[in-house]
Amino acid sequence: MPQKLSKPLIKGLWQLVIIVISAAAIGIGYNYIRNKPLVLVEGWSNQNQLFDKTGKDISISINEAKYHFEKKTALFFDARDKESFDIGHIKEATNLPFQDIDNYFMELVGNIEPETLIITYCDGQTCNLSHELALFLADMGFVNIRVLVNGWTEWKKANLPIEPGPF
Amino acid sequence: MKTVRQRSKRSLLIFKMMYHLCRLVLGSVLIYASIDKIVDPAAFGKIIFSYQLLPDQMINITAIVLPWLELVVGILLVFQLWMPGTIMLINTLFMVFTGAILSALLRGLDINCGCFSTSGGEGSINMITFFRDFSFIVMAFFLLIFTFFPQKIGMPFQKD
Repeated sequence: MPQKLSKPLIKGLWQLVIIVISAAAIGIGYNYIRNKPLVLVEGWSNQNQLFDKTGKDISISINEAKYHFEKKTALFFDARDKESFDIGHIKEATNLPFQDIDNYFMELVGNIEPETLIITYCDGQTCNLSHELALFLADMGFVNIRVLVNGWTEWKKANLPIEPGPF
Repeated sequence: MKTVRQRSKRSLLIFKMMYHLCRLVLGSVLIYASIDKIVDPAAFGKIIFSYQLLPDQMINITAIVLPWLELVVGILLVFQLWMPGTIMLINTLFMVFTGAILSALLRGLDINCGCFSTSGGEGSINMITFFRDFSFIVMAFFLLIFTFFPQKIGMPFQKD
């Protein structure tokens, strides 16, 4: 290795180590003095995430979702983007893309009673758009919000009614 | 090692301007990206979890430390301090971020990027997210060449 290069390289490696250690020390120190420090090591699972702010489990099984769909006792909200929704979605579901929630909220949700059962879904075991949407709707005053985890895939797997094409 | 012939004063100046522009852009991006994650590490932890790349035990510690690393590195870049180490780090960071996005896209995950916000307002990751992060790698790589291999682009070796 040329001497001209090795000097800044060694210097850089030392600096890198010091920067990483300093950032870790600041991060852990700040976490320690926070009001609600995060536990350094914690078990994670999909179910861990599916609680509302009061700790209530808001997940719903595919069978329960199917029941409410057939009885027409719930509204289904698809939290994915419009492109994914247009390719295919649960029959009669409404597209409420979480990333554009401010644009769609009043138009699509404004007239719904706060007690209505709303089931949100997206796609993929770890997709959290539906959970974020559910928490947002709960913040807006809706009291009966559930999340169908991996909803689109589960719905298709169960051979339940779907609709291709734009809503 | 074969080197490019020495450049004219004008092109040296352009390279120096590009260097400072890349440094300031990447520094600002990293500082901006760190704020929301520092405020809400729990939400950032969920996003890290959603990528399904790290073992459970690593998620919270990453959510606690990574935003501060972004902030520290961003400040060092903006103020042009400890550049060799900072540039090595940003190259590593942007490669990891872009690799994580690409891996999630290839696995068909429909998740938030968590790049600049933990609230989900950014929407799902897509190819635009990938190319945006890839452009950061290009800038970081330019800084790396400028700092460690200036002769490759016809620059005199940097004194620090």
